[in-house]
Amino acid sequence: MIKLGFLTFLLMASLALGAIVESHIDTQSRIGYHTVAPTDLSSHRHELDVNYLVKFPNPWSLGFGLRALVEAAYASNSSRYPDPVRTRDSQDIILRDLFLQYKGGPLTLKLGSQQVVWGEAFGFYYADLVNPKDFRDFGIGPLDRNRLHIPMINAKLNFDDNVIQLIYVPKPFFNKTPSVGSDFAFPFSRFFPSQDFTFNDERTLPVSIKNAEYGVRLSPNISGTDLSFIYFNYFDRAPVYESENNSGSINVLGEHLRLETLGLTLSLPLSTLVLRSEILFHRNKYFNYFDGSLKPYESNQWVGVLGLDYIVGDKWRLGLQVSENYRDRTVSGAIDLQSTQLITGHGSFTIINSQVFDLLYAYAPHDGSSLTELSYLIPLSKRVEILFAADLFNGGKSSQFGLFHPASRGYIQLKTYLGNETKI
Amino acid sequence: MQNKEFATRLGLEIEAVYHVTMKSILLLHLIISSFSFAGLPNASAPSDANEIVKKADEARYPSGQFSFFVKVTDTDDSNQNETVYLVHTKDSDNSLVETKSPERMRGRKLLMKKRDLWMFLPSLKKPTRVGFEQRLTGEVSNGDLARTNFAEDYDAKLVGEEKVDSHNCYKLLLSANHKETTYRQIVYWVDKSSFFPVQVKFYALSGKLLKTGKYSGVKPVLDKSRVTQLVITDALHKTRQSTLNYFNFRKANYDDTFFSKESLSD
Repeated sequence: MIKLGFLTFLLMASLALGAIVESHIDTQSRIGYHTVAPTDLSSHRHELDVNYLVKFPNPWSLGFGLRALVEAAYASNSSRYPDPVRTRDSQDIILRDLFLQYKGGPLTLKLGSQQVVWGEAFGFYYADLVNPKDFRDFGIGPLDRNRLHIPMINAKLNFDDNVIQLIYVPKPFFNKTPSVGSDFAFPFSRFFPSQDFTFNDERTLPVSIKNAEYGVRLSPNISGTDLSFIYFNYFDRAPVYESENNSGSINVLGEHLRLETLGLTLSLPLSTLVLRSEILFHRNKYFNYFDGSLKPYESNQWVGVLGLDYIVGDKWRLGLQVSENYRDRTVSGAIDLQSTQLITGHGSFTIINSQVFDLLYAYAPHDGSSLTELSYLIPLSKRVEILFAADLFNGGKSSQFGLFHPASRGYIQLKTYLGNETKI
Repeated sequence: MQNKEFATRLGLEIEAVYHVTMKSILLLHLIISSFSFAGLPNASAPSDANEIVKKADEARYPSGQFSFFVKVTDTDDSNQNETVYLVHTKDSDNSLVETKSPERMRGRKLLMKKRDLWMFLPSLKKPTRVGFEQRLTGEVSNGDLARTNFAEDYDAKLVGEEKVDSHNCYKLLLSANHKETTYRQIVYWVDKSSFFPVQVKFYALSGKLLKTGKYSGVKPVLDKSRVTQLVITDALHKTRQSTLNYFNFRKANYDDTFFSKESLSD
């Protein structure tokens, strides 16, 4: 065993000779308060991200990344946040990259924990199906941070920019959903007022052939237009809920059921505009309805996204995006509307010294609710930046955004970027 | 649930995308545009004004496949920002610009293939298409970087000879030969003996002077001496300057897939 270890060490050392090691160590600290009474602490979070990429002087590279976070607001604000939130979400260690990559000629093969990103639209990438997401904080933050890396086999063949990508996921992993009692939790209490209930959400399934997921992406090179056709056979990353009354106590289980998705995505530059669009068809997706208990029902779903981006100089950027979800079937008691829309406008304005003011306004026409996001970023140095931000939810109590009105908040975030590039 | 999650993420990602300075796009064009001219400057007499312009372009960059760093220092009154890029290029059609500094912008990339442009942001982990016309926005702090590919985009006319900073120069008037150029006209001074560019003035479509630029820092770059510094001054706000310093040129041999959109996220 010692000999084997020694030989492995020698092999790695010889491979690493001449390798370039890129390291990125980022820290992020945030403190925030609710803007709606009671205006108490909403977040006191510290995060550490460590990422290494070793590029060997041959077609191989190795990636490793880890995130650790501590959220102190839940423990220090026990009157607002019940025990499930405190115990489940106060700290976390998340494995991110852990992959080995071969890149030679037209073939790129990446094995291990990684992200695979599909889609062209900004914002929520409807076609971004492969990796589960962390929604415990409403998905706020760059999508890269919210994507949960999962182990998979990812093979790409690239011929003159015509790409075929095949992925195989041996073990499904699912979204991290907000704990009951947290700011962005599913409103179970609306369905089970004054009743005790327990909630369990599947986070993964065992490795087996029947649980395996697989997908393909074809991206032909058509002059001036980025086109992709995608197919993915997988388990829904979001849960569908099923409840049962157990001697007066309600047990809720978040299940993840298999579906197929077909999609077409494109982006097209039109003079100073860039048009982005995604059309997806989810076959045999499950949704919830309530008839005294929460139950799933099956339907196909269409999703369409159309966006335009417009850039004015290098200081102002404007964008408009509309999206629609449509189910071809609904049932009495369905929790969500059969058709929902979202209109989103955004602007980004560089003020002085690379300080950036961002504004986003999202409006849901089907219920009149809205979300406004404001942020002001000030770079303090090459490695440090500070962000002042607010997320404001408005609308009726059961509306899409109004539901989270009490979670509206303002916060300050300090981020540092450390890193290095070393040749061994 | 999708829509609920959509809006928040949308804002943050748009923010991230838009924090990518257009400078890198414009810089890329500046660099790319100068690679299509084979040969090196020499003291032989030019056959015409366009030949002078070609030789001046050759005095900035070598040909073929290579990489180099560019440090861009922007000053505006008392403020100063510094950005370092690593540029990979293959012929005149393929270029990849990586932001190396400041650290908080590190990992951002811009890929150009012919007329197609994509950027890659670590916060998104995917390539995003950028409209080609965005290079032509002519923003005062960056626009002059974009269109120094004078030989391809402009028809030159020799309008005289002048002495600039002790250089005896050809004075050339360059007129745009297609509508996608940033400037309607350029006045260009090129050293008569070495064909190094010395000074440049950029004029907007309206005829207004936008920027002036001065080339300097002649150093050996790979096989020949070339200019390695360009200082650009805003015509309206004289205190606004961008200084580009080119260094660490290296020959390279890139795989065809190196400049593919897919490789940005690998």
